[in-house]
Amino acid sequence: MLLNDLRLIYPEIILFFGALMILIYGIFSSNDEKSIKNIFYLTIVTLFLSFYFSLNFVPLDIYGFNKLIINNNFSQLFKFLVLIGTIIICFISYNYFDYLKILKPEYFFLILLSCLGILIMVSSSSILSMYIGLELQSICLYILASYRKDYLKSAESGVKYFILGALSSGILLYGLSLIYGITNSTAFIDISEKLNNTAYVSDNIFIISTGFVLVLSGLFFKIATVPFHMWAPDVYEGAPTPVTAFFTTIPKIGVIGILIKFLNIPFDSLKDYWIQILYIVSVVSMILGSTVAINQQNIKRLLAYSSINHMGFIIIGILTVSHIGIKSVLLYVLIYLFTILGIFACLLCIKDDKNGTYLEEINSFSGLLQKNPFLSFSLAILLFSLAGLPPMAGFFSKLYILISAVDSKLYILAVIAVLTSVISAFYYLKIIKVIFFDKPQNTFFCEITISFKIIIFSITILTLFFIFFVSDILNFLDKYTVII
Amino acid sequence: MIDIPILSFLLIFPFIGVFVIFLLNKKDENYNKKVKEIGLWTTLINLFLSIILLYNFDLTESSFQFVETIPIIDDLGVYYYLGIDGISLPFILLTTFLIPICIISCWHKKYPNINYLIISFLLIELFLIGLFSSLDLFIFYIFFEASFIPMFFIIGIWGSTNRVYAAYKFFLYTLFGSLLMLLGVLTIYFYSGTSNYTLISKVDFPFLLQLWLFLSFFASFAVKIPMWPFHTWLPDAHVEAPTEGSVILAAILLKLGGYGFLRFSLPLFPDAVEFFAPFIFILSITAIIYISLIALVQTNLKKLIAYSSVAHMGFVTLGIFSRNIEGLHGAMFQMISHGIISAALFFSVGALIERKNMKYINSYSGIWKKMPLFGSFFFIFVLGAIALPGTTGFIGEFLILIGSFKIKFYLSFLAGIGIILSAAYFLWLYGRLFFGNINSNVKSISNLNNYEIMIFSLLSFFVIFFGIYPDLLIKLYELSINKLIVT
Repeated sequence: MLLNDLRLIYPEIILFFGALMILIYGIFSSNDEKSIKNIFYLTIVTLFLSFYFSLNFVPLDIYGFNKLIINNNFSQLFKFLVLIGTIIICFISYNYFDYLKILKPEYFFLILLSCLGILIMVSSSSILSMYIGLELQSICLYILASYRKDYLKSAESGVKYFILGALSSGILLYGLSLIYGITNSTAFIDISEKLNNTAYVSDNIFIISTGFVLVLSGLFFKIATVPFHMWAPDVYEGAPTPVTAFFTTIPKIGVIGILIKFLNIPFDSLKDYWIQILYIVSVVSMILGSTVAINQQNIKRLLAYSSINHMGFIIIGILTVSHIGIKSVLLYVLIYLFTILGIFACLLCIKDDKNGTYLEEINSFSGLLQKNPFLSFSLAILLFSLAGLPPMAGFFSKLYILISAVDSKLYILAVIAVLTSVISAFYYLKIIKVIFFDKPQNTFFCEITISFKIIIFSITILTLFFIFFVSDILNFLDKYTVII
Repeated sequence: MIDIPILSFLLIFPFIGVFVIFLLNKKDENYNKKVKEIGLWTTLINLFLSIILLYNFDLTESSFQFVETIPIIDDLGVYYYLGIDGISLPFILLTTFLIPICIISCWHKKYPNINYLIISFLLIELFLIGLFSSLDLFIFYIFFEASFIPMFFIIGIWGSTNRVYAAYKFFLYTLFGSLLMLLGVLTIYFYSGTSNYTLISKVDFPFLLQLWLFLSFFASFAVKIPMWPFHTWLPDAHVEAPTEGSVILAAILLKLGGYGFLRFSLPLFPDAVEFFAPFIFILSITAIIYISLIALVQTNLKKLIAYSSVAHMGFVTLGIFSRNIEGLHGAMFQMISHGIISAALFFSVGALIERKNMKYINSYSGIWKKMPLFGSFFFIFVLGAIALPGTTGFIGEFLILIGSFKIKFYLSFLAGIGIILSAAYFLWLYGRLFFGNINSNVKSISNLNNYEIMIFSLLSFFVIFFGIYPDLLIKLYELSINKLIVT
């Protein structure tokens, strides 16, 4: 019985053994160029294998391990996105760490392990496995944030992230314990059954709502929505750039997956309550994410605030509680992932001439157009896409969110979303302005290896011509929109 | 009628041009020349195609012609749905006519990164043709918003000192308007269940909904056209943009607003138009008189012409919302005629500014003695702008005056004052520039070169031709416009 259940977690098992092998290989080999390269290949192979297995060999819609795990189309999609995103991150981070001479086996080990945590979390169907997955990925992320030990800001970001993250995990766990206490069950489906009993709920509404709000706060902390966003800019700025790319995309996508599941399965009957909470969080996130970003000088901080704004958009889709809403979230997440990864890939190609550091200040990108038109155009297209301008991909994701909002008669929310996207267009334009309009101020050089070229080029082309296959993508997503 | 999808070809050729320019070898020493040649040839092919379009256009048919439909987003029922009628065809012709002229105009100039400028021109042509021919609301919106992006770069990269501010202002104003329009588009989509224009035009929206929809579309078109008090981005954008940018902006991009009113606001929300018409008359009259007064005191050459554009567009909105046969015909004619005249004026002013790099009127004096040919051309354009009989400007403004006279006498009277004011500031400008003593700046000014003579004679030909024989143009849009008339 238990052995039979192992089929459900093939991808996770592969990731786990891959990570262990990297650790063992790292111990028994010398730290030279060749062995690091081997470890890199091992990571990529592990991720691909995991992807292949989750695509082909995982049985769907069967509970495993006493209702701890269930895979369905919805969680499968999130797994695909997480694995593809992690592969791209591995490719774009190799050069960065290699250049700084801190490329160690641990890096790939941690990435794989946090990826494992996200996979467990996404496919969990119980508050227990959800917490384990969440915690596993968070702990890896704390270490990754402070990966550049010699760099003060990186250490600071790691400590900041750890303290606040631990606090939020504590809050989350407390909330989960309250929910467990009142429902006497851990599986989502059982909790849902208990909460369907209206008399029981209204008797214990105080404890249920307290527990629920605490869990929600913990989850919001992980995706950095207002008012739990304070850590994001500092941590993003201090962490090594590829790790920032990881933070901005992969864990957030995982948490969005589990957030949708958590809201719609166990707490389905309390819809009316959490819609209000999400409404406020979404409005505040969009407004703060778009206004505060205007004054940022560091591009990583700016992207942190922009991602807060994007999370606000995604929450609109979640709170509509409709088929089209969830579909719009999936589309948004898909486009967001690739656009952000493309932008980070571009940033990881540009180094300062004098001290060889990677450029982070927005003003230092001036004159990129003369230096490297390919990078400047790719960045411009990707930023326009983030700003939601047609015909780029980002327009369709925002359009779909707006459609779902109008469909659910949330007109005010739609108007706020539109206004904030005008404001956020302003700061994306600021970067484009520096690249295209300003005179060159400092010297830098661009180094684009072949893998970067492939990644940036394909993402840019897909973003630019998204209109030609938007229909296919939407049909494809239709299958994955069913949550339960 | 022929069977090939000409409209799609019109969209494909600029795209191929962009693609070829990207493929060219940059290290080639003739690179810049080749880029310009490719740009010119693609736009000339487009001009040729649009003339085929005109040739095959059935003047006795008031519905959409050359219709093409391909499903794009099955999920939403969005189609790549193109088609033109008499309202869109003149604008497409104007676009395909002016873009090659802009490319010829930058032939002898030393713009940095000329390849990107040509690419921007080609893209803007693509987006504008797509916009004028799309009959699906979503596709229209995509082209509408996409058309800002090349313009943003044209102002921002090749503009003068304060270009970044101007580019931002242009972009954010228009983006703000168009996003509100997007909400309107979504509401229409949900109310009628389709984004197909021909189906939507059969839907009757309830009055209250019409008011909101009208306002959301108005936010976009009023910024674009631009109406007072949403015009403040225009003087900045014009002053900072390079000559060709100003030309495209004034001649074509401003017409998007008028086109939008004619295509969407009037047929879709007739009751709301009825309701809001008095307010729009007030705004139009304010634009005509107040903006003319502002133009009178301008010291900056380009700013003066930019303000005159706002005033002329005031006539257009006055004509459109009077909704009688004279007003609508006049508004349509005025848009095309302003497209030619404002392009000509900006080319002329650009020719001066590029020679001496001085933007102020008082830097020049007595140009006539050095450049008599230029003086004559400029005089024709000024006459067109002040609506002298025999020029295109007269037909449009005269018809609009009749149209507004039918609504209320004083509207026509006040608009007439605007014409007098426009004569005042344009003739005064002409006098200050061309007569008087030659000052030190003008002493070394060089005469027109062949490219400029070619452009100016072409434009002045059309200014006079349509002034003498307006029927040629009116026939084109007559049937489509007549459908909008409310008696």
